[in-house]
Amino acid sequence: MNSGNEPDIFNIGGPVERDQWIDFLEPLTNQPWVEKSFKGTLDMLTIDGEVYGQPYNIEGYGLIYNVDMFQKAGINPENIKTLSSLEAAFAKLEDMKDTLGIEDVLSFSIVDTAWWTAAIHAINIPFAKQENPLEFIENLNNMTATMSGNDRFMAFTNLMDLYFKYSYSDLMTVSYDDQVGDFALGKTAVLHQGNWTIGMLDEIDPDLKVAFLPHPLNDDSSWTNGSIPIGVPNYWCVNKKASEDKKDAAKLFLDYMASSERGAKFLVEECSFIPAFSNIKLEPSDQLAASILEYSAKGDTVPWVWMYTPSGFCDIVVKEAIQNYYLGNSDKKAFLEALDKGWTELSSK
Amino acid sequence: MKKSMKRKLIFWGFLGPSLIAFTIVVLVPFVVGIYYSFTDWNAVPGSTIHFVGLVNYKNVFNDPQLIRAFRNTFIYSFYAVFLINTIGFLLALLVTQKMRSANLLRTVFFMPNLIGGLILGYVWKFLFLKIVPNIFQTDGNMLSKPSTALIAMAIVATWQMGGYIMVIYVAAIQGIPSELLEASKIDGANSWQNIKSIIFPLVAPAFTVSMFLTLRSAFMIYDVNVSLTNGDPIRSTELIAMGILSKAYKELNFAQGQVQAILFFVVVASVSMIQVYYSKKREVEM
Amino acid sequence: MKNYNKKRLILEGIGLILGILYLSPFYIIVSNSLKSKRNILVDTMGLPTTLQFENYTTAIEKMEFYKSFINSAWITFLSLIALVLFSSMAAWILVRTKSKISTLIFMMFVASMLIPFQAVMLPLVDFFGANKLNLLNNRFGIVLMYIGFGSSMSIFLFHGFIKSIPLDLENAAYMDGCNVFQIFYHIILPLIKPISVTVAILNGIWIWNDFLLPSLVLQEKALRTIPLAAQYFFGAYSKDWHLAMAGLTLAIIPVIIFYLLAQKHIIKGVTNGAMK
Repeated sequence: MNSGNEPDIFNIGGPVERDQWIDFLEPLTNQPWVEKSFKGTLDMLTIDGEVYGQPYNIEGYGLIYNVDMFQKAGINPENIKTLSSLEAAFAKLEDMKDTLGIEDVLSFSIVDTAWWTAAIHAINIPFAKQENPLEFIENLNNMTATMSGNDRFMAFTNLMDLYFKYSYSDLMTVSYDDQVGDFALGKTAVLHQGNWTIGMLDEIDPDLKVAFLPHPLNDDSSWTNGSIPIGVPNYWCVNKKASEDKKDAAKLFLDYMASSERGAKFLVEECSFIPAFSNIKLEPSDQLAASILEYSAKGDTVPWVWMYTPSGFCDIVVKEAIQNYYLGNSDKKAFLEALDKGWTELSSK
Repeated sequence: MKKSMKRKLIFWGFLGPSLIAFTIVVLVPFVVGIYYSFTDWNAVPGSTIHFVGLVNYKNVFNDPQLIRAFRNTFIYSFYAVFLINTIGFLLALLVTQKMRSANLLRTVFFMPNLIGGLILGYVWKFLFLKIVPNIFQTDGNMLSKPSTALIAMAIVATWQMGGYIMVIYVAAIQGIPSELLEASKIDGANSWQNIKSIIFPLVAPAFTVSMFLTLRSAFMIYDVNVSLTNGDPIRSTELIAMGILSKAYKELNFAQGQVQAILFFVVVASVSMIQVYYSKKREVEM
Repeated sequence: MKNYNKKRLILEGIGLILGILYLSPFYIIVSNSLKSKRNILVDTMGLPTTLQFENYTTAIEKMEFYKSFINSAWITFLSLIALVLFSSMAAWILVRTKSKISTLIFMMFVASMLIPFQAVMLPLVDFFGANKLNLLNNRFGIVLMYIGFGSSMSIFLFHGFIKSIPLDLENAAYMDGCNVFQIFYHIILPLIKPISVTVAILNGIWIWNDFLLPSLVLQEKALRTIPLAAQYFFGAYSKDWHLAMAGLTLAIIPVIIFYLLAQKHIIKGVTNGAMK
């Protein structure tokens, strides 16, 4: 949109962009697909009950584990719902490194082409596990809450310590292809990533069996520790300033994608998307999609809250703070304080 | 009267295309940019712009990242200017020797100069990540540590610009009258004495030109920065030019980004003006 | 004499080693561009186990190489024609007109060479954007930008060259009844050929390789130039080093061919530009 020629349909990534482009957003509340959308998938593009965007698809991430290796190590993934059980599993994998033929336990990254694994996806966990995530964000914005001192964020530093301990010896060198490639080649047993990696995993090792583990922050059962974050990466929106004809055509097209069989087939089979509409009953396209649907069915999901963070928070503030924490340039306290400081600066401008 | 009218028409007619393009593309954005730096401009089409005085300037000067960016740009420039000029001069000495492969070597050394910074950065990213650690049998790589990432960038810049600076030195060395070198040889001077007492002083003007060329390009580096490190690690390689884009397009703080852009202009223009001053002074002396 | 030969042998040896060292990055990307995904993850140093030429077909497809090549060529070519023509016209009239305004305009062009692109890019994108000029994502829009940014240096170079052309020829042509356009076209343009080549080469290298400006103003996939297309392999989800290497090789090949064909002109042009 910044670029000048104005399309009839365009995409919006989340609530920050939503507010920025609000003047261009046509309300879509009365569209037939709205009722069929999964619960929660419209929240980010809804203001005062008015819906402004159609979800592309659902995506999710977590700790992807190598099913065969877990079996060989005698670890039951069903039992991993707490931080201590995760730690015990990691320790066991570490002990059995030679038997399993792995070099490290966990494929994680904090830099380069995979910086977002840590600075968007990992940091989302303490946000998403707040009792009321959106209220927490609001409190951060009006400065009645801080991340330092918050129990979820304190616990998050422990999870980071665990990741650092069981991941590569030098995390500052790991790019996306290393991270996913090593897991696919069997050099690691666990991968902190999302369902979009399935294409690459299949390409390197078509026989790889994988599923998601949650990322627990502690052992407290009231903390939704057995859940994985799922969300909508992008929404389709209709340009309010386009002509009525064009707007109607755009709306028809969006409904076609959601409601028709061909639209659904296109989403699931061509794009390998996990659709956001309950009317689509097609088989999930891959193992990771199936794993996500399993978590969704049980209600073991938490939202993607980073969408509500101020522009620049993840890719500038968190990225730098996590790297500093990893390198030992800051301790837990300084790490969380850096997050608070960055938030205040970005949200107050 | 009619004739002078026609003359004016011809004058503006010939000047017109360049002048119009220049005005639209450089002049207007430059002036508007100065105005924007005193407002809350946010680049969203149609939104109103309010005058806010010096607030953006105050915020920018209090931004520790800006100070870091400047400091790192200076450090990088130091490495780059030193490496490029040293390598460029040594290569020039080599290819001006009487040897069969001199012309071929010139072609080879100059070649990387034609490849764009973005592409070069990506080529070297692969080398630094996958090849160099293999050669030296280490786990770490130069791009992952703040202390070495800037040196890595300077190495890429040297590969790119070394041959270019070489060509400038070659022109200067070839301008030295051969009688001078012959004469000193007869006097029994060895190669090093030759270089020290004849080549150095006579190449000095080319040295000034190269210094400023490399300094200016080091200050303005962006493409290699994006493709090689993209600011990593811990924003320690985010140099000034990239900082402007981060401020604007990542933090969506366009007004402060523009303030940084104006500061950037002041620094680059100063460097260039010092260069012009020296060149003029030299011309007068010669 | 024997001593001399030994020295020369050592020099040739040093030259050979340095030459190979300088070229080694090319060897590495080409050899890795022919490996399979697995091969490259396991072994980056060695030669490919099998030659995967299909990496190139895949890379061509993924980066839409032909399309981006044509975009780059179209934008560069049109910008160069316009820059050489318009700048020489402007420079000639500025040299031949002795007036305050003429000097002032020339000084303005020269002074603007101090302005780095980054200093004006944010307002420029805004000014060319929606609700204003509406020239973003437009091939002519970016050509207009290149004319604007390239004109200062080009006019400066033409100005310096035209100053040294004696007036006699032009005066004689006036006597014969030629008009200004005829004089410019038949007399000036042929005379300034050497500097036109320099201007075209300097601007050509810049425009062909430019990344920042197109990244800001050409977001549409169909308009991508080669540097933008090459970036495709290094985005957030980049994972295919073997394809990336093939893509980089593809991006480099046209430049190398051009260089080997026009080497003399290029080196001369670039040095001329630097010395001014």
